[in-house]
Amino acid sequence: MRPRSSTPFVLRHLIWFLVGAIVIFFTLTTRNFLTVGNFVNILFNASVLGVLVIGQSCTLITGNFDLSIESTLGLSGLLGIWFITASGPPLYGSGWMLSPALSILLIHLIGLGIGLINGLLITKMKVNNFVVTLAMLITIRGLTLLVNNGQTAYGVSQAYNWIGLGKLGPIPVPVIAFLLLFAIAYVVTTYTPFGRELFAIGANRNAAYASGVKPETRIIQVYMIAGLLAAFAGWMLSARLTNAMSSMGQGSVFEVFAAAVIGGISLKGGQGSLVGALGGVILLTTIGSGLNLMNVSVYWIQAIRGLIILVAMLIEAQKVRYMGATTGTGGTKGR
Amino acid sequence: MTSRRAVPILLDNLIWLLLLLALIVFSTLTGRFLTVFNITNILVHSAVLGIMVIGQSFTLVTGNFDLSAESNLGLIAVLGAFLMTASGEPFNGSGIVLSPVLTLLIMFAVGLVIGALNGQLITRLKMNNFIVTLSMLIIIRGLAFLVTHGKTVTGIPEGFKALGNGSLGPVPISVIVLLAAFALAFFVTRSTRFGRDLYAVGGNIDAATVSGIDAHKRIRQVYLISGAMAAFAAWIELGRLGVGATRIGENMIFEIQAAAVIGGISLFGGRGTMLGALGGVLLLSSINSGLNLMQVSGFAIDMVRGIVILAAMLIDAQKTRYASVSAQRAIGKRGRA
Repeated sequence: MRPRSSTPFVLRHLIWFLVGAIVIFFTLTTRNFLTVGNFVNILFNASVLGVLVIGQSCTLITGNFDLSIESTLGLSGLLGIWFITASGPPLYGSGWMLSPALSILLIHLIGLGIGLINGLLITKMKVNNFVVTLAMLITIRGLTLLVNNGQTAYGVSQAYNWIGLGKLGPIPVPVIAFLLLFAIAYVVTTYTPFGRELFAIGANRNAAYASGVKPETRIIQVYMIAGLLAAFAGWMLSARLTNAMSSMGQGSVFEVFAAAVIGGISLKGGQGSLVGALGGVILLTTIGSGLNLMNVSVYWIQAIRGLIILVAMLIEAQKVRYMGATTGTGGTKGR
Repeated sequence: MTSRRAVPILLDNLIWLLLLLALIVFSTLTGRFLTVFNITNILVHSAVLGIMVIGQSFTLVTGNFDLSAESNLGLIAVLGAFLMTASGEPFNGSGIVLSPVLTLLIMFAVGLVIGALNGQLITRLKMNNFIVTLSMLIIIRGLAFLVTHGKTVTGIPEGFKALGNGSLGPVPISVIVLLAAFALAFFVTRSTRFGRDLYAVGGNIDAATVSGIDAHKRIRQVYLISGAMAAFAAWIELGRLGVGATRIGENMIFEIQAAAVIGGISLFGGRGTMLGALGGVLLLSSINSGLNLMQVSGFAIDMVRGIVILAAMLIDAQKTRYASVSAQRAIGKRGRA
């Protein structure tokens, strides 16, 4: 389950060595990289991706995908603003004028609800998790378009926007929120029976069931966690942007997977840690920031980032092969 | 007895039942649905998706994803348009004004190179196929942005566009191409050794290797096919749209996989037919067309489509459960006898 203690230290914490290498590279090649301001900035930019990765990591650990989170983020971000603003130009809200607190509560309930539907379809109706969440991704994005007829909603509530733009002392609120959530998720997955059961289910569902774990309940719960966190990320992103387009978050699930997997979360379930996933998030965001500071053309940034992801995955794959060879158990786990 | 035998046949051809159901519902609700014009229209709109689904189905049958296909389509389309057209506004091309034939060669070469790269990384460096093609999806979309810096290319030669917008008599060329491509893919997967190898690899790669199949070679080949299909789809799409844009194909991968899976292609490999995949493509396109004709708000169509996909998958999952239950029952009976 957890990395074996015989595994060399460097390999166990490979992601952080990659982060270190990237930081050294950018420090040498750009002038303003290694500053407190830029460090906070990287964490600020990492916050939305980070929150999504927490939810995705929990589902991946049980051996399940959740593709739908990017659409849940879009829907909750839009609804969060839409519920509280006036209809028609210039804000294009619902005109319901709900209080920010109620709106925030509602979008998190919606996130939980979407997770619950995902979980029930997967466990009770036995539909494949990839397929369920793929269909939900399309459905929820469609619902997001429908709510406001494709129109962007603009948010003006300071109370609502606090989570994205507020500061506690010198530190942005989203940075605190995202690091706090990672800390909680790390403790829960590592030190509680709940967390250990998630790894057990991902490693071998039948064995977990035989030893008294209820896989179906746990899987429904991780989807609800993923939905809740996606709603939170939607709140954070729409608050930071102070508006919500119906395409918000579209395509981001690819980056979420990349961050989780670079961080050592296995797509087959049962392996990885939230600290590693955090490393994946930091790595991806650092690359983006560094390339920006190097004045790399925006047209190059995406291609280079993709390439670095590929290289990181390549190193990771060789690590798995190496570990498989040294422990003699073979690199691939059966299912 | 007859009903017991009829049920599995119905279940195996579920996609066609769903398609029939969609046709009945839409032709009842709107008079303009079941016309030659509209059916042709549905097929035209299926062409690009259908060609992409063929490529994806080849990889899925072996148990491999090709997420990069959508970016591949985008890069090849914008690159092709860029090579053939004049520079500066309003064309935004390269100014090379390459001949369509040479351009096509380059387009297919790019598709094959990307496919080869995917295949090599997966089989030689033992990387997970989902991860490799996920990274390639990001990289190739980045490259597509590099070609024109996000600008739209116009002024594509008419001859080149014929595949996407021309007709032979009353029948659009793209429809003929779509149906021919599916027929060929069906034949290859069903009736050749190559095709049977793919199912064997997808069903159980170790067993396939033991029985003498070079599984890794087959996987490299299906990624080549997927790359070539992306180039082919790019050719049709350029003709249909008339312009080359960086964002062509963006987020299309979800629809490609939905069509393949609705059509009965298993994500775990080894199961499903090209005919079923065609059914999946036609179902998605029919739903689009029907909702359009019913003047459902464009904003609602996506949601309805998602729900239909979900419903189809729900039915499919119950079919799988039913099949395994009745199989167990049959085994139980034999055991007792």
